[in-house]
Amino acid sequence: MCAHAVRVAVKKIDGIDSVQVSLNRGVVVIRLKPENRVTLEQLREAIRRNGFTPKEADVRARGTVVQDSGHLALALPGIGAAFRLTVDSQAPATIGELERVRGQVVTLEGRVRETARWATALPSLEAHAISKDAAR
Amino acid sequence: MKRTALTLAMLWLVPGVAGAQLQEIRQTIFGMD
Repeated sequence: MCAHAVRVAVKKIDGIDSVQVSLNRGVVVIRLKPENRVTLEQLREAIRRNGFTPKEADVRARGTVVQDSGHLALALPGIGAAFRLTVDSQAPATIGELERVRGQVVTLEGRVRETARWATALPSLEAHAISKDAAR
Repeated sequence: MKRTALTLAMLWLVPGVAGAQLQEIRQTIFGMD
């Protein structure tokens, strides 16, 4: 169980562009290919299988901001995933900004906390940057 | 479980968008060296 094993296991997942593992910093940096169908849980499972515990992750994701039973969520229907949206109080992104882009496709950057494998609730994405990018 | 069902229903209602997915992840890990 080592950095190399984690890198190989993650790189094997279809849709991964590059993987950098730094055990000194305790971080795995993963860049994904356009049109990939990779989920965060898939990556975390590959890391767990190699003896490490995945903690929080800073992610950049593109999806549609929707309302889900009274809460805002970022839907990634292509990969069957969604994140409940919350706001980092230290960051300029606010719930108001998210409300204004409801129904639109945006790119969000934010933090996803550690989640239990058996959790049934949506994972939360604490947004700190929003950009509307109609085209890629 | 109810939340999961609602979310799956919600995903069905959202049209697929090209390029909608995870793009970059900085995953913090903890464990053996």
